[in-house]
Amino acid sequence: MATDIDEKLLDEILTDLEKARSWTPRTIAKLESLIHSEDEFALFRINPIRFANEKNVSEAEAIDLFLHATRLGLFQMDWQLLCPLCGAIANSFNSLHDVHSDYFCTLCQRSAETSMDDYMQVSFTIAPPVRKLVFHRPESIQEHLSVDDFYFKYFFSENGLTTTGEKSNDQLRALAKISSYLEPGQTKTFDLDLSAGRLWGLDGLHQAHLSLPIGGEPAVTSQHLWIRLAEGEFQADTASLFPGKISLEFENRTSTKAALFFMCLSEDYLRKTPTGLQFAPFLSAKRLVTTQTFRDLFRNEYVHGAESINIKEMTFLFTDLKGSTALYDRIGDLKAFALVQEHFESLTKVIQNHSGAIVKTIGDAVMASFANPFDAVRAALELLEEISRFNKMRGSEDVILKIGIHRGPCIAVTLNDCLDYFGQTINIASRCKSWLTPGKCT
Amino acid sequence: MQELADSREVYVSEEIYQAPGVQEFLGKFEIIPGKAHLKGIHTEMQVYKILSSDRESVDGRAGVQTPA
Repeated sequence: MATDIDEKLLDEILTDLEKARSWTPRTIAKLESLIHSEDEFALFRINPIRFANEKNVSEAEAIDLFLHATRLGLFQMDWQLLCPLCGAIANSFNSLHDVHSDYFCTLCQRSAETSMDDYMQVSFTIAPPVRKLVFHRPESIQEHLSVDDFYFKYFFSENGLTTTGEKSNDQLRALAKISSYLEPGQTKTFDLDLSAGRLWGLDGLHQAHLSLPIGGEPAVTSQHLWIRLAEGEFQADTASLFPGKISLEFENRTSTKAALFFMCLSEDYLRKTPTGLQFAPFLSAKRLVTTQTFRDLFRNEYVHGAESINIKEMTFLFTDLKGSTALYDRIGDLKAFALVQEHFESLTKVIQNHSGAIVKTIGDAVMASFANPFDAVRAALELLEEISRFNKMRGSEDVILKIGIHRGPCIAVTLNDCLDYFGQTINIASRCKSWLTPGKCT
Repeated sequence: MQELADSREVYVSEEIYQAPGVQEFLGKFEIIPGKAHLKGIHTEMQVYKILSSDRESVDGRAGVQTPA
């Protein structure tokens, strides 16, 4: 049992968490058991989808659990951009505000467009006041982790899978020829036997990259290559290498520790077109932003200023009240307003139950987003039933709902200090009102 | 899409109708396919009107041309 936990604070938070909503029995106990785990890494970048599967909790409830717990100060939420080729966590942010529209992987030397769909994961790490982890201080993480742990528990995502289903980290481990820390001012020599291809690697602490081709006739005598790390980059005294034995002498001329990770990639490996990794299921940014609890609890989480983040596919559902103008005339503004608010509450409940989130209301219309189109269709049909019940309870047919659904690409933006969406997909889902006449399609 | 819908109707686009699981789920509902021109969209769109179980079909009223 871990002893470095502020048990009093944990008790207080868990008590509040129990009251946050109704939970399936033992859900909080399962979370508490995780927090007491002896393995610090188990509390770093927790994947709620894995938690759900391992602890037999529904995914939706697990996501809600971590969101409420984060709001109460039990966890910190992290947004990570994953390199689709190597699985490196190219960027990690505490807030959606800091995410930009593109990112760069130091190891692969490739830029990628940020997309909420595939390679943007959201995870949760225990908050320092509850339990301190070495991972809370990235500036000194290298003082507490082995170089293997630095790369495979911190630098690379543990969720990456190759096309054959192998863990990408296992493949990287197998390819690694050098994996070592280098203290400031230190020089280390590594003796390797190179085959044709490319020497490829980085220092993950300085974000420095080096790639040298290996080709030509094999060297008759052992080669020697001097590589200096200075001012955040590698400097080598040759631009290419020959196959055969070599002594690589690395010198760290920076004032801080370096973490060397070098692979020898064969010609066969390099000839293959990069296909990209699969990832074990994780909480994608898209799924998070279509969760009502996220929108309710984290209203200040939105895209920064003029930035926008691409979404390859999102489903939008629009509702509107039929004959609302006549309704206002008939029952008066005050009663109509109360009625509209009540119908919003009914809609919110149904949309939330089907893994959707209300983006905004526009007059008496609602715009909702879903990660999954199937959920949107199920929600729409239940909305009709819910409104029918609503009318029966009131003994009138005042609320008559119209619903449209469409899916497609869009961008996430900030409008009126809220996370919103922009694009033709939204136009299609909503637009027709001003031109449509009964019985005729214009 | 939403404005195509008349009372107690759901309109879905082709993209939604073709999404995994949707057609199977809608098997018990009355579906009326049709074409519609949406404002600002140059191409005619295939849309599907889903009628809720507690109302009768109102073909044509919602402005969708249904196949002959």
